[in-house]
Amino acid sequence: MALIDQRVEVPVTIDESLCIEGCTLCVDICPLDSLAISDETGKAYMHVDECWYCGPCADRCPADAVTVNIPYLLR
Amino acid sequence: MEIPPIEDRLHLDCEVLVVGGGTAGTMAAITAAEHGARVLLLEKAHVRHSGALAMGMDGVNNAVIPGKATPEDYVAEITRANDGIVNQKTVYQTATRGHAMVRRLEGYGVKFEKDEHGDYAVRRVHRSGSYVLPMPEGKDVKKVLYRVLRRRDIRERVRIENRVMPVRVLTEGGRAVGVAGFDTRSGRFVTVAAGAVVLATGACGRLGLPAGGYLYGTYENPTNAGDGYAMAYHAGAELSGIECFQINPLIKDYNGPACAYVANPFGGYQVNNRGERFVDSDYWSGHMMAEVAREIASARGPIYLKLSHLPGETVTAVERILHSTERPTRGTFHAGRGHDYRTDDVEMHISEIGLCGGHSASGVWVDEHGATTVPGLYAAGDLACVPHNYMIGAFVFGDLAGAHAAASHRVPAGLPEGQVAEAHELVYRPLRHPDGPPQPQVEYKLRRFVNDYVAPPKTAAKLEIALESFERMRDEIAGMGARTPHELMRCAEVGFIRDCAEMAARSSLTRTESRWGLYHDRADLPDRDDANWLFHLNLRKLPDGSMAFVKRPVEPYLVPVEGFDPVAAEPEPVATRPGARVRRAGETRAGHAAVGRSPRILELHRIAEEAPDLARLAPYLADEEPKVRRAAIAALTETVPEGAGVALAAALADEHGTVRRAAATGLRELAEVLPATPEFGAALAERVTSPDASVRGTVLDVLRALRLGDVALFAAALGDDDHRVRIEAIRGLVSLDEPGPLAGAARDASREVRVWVARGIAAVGRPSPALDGLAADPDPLVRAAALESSAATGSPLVDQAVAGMADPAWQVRAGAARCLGAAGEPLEPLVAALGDGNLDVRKAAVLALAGHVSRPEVAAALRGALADPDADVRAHARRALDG
Ligand SMILES: Cc1cc2nc3c(=O)[nH]c(=O)nc-3n(C[C@H](O)[C@H](O)[C@H](O)COP(=O)(O)OP(=O)(O)OC[C@H]3O[C@@H](n4cnc5c(N)ncnc54)[C@H](O)[C@@H]3O)c2cc1C
Ligand code: SF4
Ligand code: SF4
Repeated sequence: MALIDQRVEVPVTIDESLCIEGCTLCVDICPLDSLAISDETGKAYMHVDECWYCGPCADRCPADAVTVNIPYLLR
Repeated sequence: MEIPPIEDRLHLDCEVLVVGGGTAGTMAAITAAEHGARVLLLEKAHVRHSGALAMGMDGVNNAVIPGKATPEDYVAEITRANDGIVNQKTVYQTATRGHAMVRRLEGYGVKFEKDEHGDYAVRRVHRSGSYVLPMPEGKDVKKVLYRVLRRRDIRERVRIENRVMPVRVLTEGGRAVGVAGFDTRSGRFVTVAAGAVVLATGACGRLGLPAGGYLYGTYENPTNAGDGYAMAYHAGAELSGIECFQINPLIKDYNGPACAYVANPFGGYQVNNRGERFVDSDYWSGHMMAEVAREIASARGPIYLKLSHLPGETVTAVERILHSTERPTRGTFHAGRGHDYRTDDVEMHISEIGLCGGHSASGVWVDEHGATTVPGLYAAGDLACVPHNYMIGAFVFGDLAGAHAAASHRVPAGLPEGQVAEAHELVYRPLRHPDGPPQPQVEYKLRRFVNDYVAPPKTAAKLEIALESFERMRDEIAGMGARTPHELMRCAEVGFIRDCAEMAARSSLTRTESRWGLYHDRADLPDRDDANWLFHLNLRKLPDGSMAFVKRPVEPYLVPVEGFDPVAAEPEPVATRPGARVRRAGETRAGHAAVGRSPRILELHRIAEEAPDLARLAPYLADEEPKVRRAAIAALTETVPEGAGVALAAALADEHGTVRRAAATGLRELAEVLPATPEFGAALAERVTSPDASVRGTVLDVLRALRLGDVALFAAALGDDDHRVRIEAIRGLVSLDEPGPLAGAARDASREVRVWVARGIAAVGRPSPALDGLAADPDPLVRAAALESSAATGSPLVDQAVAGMADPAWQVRAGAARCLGAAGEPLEPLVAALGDGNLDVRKAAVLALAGHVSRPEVAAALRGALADPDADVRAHARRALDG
């Protein structure tokens, strides 16, 4: 079967300049496991478009680096 | 990833296994541990923020508090709400144990709303009885539970494995002996041998597709994909009432509750496009949902939650709850559309369908201890069929199941390797064909079929198409492709959703009547048929793999309920029919040292895991970086070492505002658990002169809650510059039964403060001359509060109230009506107010007259109100006349 890479806007963004390298708090707690640490930058990012826009990732980030937006389809 | 050989698995064993670490699961684990069992808790997310409570809860929907309601009233209420089909023995457990559970949670540090005298402040939302108990700091519930799980005595007995997801319950000789599943990050296969298994995996929230089209934008937490329903089914357990779906009225598109339960006490309500209220009870039931669906589809649609008529500060108070708990991104959603509750009513809609015992009645069949029909297997929380059980019921049944499992676990001889191999195949199958259709597309299609053919209004013809579609999709699901452990998790979930969809369609087809309003609205069979269907409809999987249905008689009621007469009968079989690698958090990346710019915060996170004492946290509390100090306060409030109170009080003097705010939040959150020592009181009192008003407000609030404040301190704070501090001062004085100094505040510049003075006098309950002044206040909200409050002092301001009935402001007329109702004389103005143009005034008049129905002229007037255009007014009039 054919598969393609397609662009998708994801709801959660992380300000890399603020994200603390070595920290994994948001990745640890996201209930949907949608956040990961990038191999390239060592910073957190959203790796799949799966989100309940619930907020603990932003709430718990010690660096205020996480912004939770409402998923595009619902905005 | 490669398919891991079955032998490379992680094997664990325990006495009590709990699957799902949400509301019911954490309580089951704690109770089982307290009963001495060795417990394993598996959670597919992370227990710290998982399940429906991840971001807290704004209130208890169903607490039976002695003196406010009786267990019998509650059981009868739920029996009516569920159209007679309940095993009252189970509901009775929630009714009788809910109060002790509230106390237990309070002991853990959860805050429930209390009046100034320390009584629980329950509110009425149900048709009869008051069961709704607000939780002012509800956002912290899960945090509190997690703190208990990590208490030394508990964590010695409870092992937690996060990100591990069972897919099948294993059985041997008909008894549950463990589970098989996998680690959703490493992909490792996992088996567990257990003496007893408690399933607490929540609702099936990903059944219908939300109208917004986003797979995870569901009402329920989307990690609850119906896992437990499928696992219980394949283990051979009975499920019940699956055709009684969950459907809720939600903020349109956002798809989260803007609960009338929250807005109601503040004066908000649901209206149609003409501004009329149309439901006669805000309690969520299938009948209410049918009314909502009808209204939306009518010329009077859509519907709204109306708040725009309320004063700004009231809206702010509603926002403070709605934008911080349960679904805190509500504010972001409204802001994104440029909407504001002050000017825009909130458009509401009905949600996708789901399965949920906690909200409706679709769940795994359990007895009054949470035991299923499979020995050794329990179900608790939303997964279990205990109708309308909600959060407190999930706690109660988690506790019951945990206790029962701890008392009756049995060491299994071994695991059935055939079932283990089947589970292994189920999990890893998608790796065999990584280019197969991806989960998002397969899931979308499956759930769209659910919307098209299973959601009400249901017909046999549509349900047949549904079954055909689900059958066709069986192969597509088996052919799904995946490449990572994360994708394997989503693929396994699609299998659960398909199982639930099939159960939902078959059950709906089998129950040949309509019942529970919209939940089981069979358009082709519109009538309720008690003669044939005042029965539970249970289903289970037969050994040959087919789905069998049985009609179970409703057990004789413990509490008789008029209109429902279950008949004794034998269970009767009905029809049967054939039947890119994600890195693990914490894993170090090759070639990257943790060079971080804040190693101190990383150290703190590590230390916080080890239940540190205050001395270990002290250096971080004194760190020069405010960010580190804030993180240290977060660690302090999570772990609460001895001396935490004094340390938090000290942090109220921090030079950095964010640190002070974190300390203030922590103190409010912990008010119930911090010991009220004189030293702590002194440390707090020192901060009452802080230049930061939020600090001063917190100090007064916490001193009041801990009963550590004195009259002089509160009275002095009445002169504070900030009105929020002055309000806290009033609450403090009221808690000490000291209304004297309040008289001065009756001339306060802030109308909010003056309203609080009036309410405070009511709470003290003794006449006060200050009320006369307040009743003549230039502000209508103050006049309204004064009139209403005077009724509670035993000396109602009757003359002013009679005059107030003609006030141009509706709030004053409503307050005056409440005053006259309590005074009992004269009633003529109340009868006249039944013709008032404002629906809230008419409602207040009906409620005020309700206490005087024995008088013929009152009864006659109330009979007239049965034709009121407003549904609420009609409902209250009917209730008053009934009795
Ligand atoms: C938005 C919202 C608002 C609500 N508001 C209120 C309210 O104000 N008052 C009230 O009384 N009730 C309210 N409720 C209902 C109440 O929260 C629930 O009834 C209750 O929390 C259910 O608890 P539970 O343990 O069954 O489910 P949950 O708390 O959802 O826990 C289920 C857990 O199981 C985990 N899990 C699922 N599948 C697996 C698997 N295969 N393996 C491992 N783990 C798994 C999930 O990740 C989750 O952590 C609300 C519910 C929602 C969704
Ligand atoms: S919690 Fe914040 S600092 Fe930590 S990894 Fe996530 S974004 Fe980075
Ligand atoms: S909002 Fe919730 S689901 Fe979305 S990334 Fe943050 S924690 Fe995960």
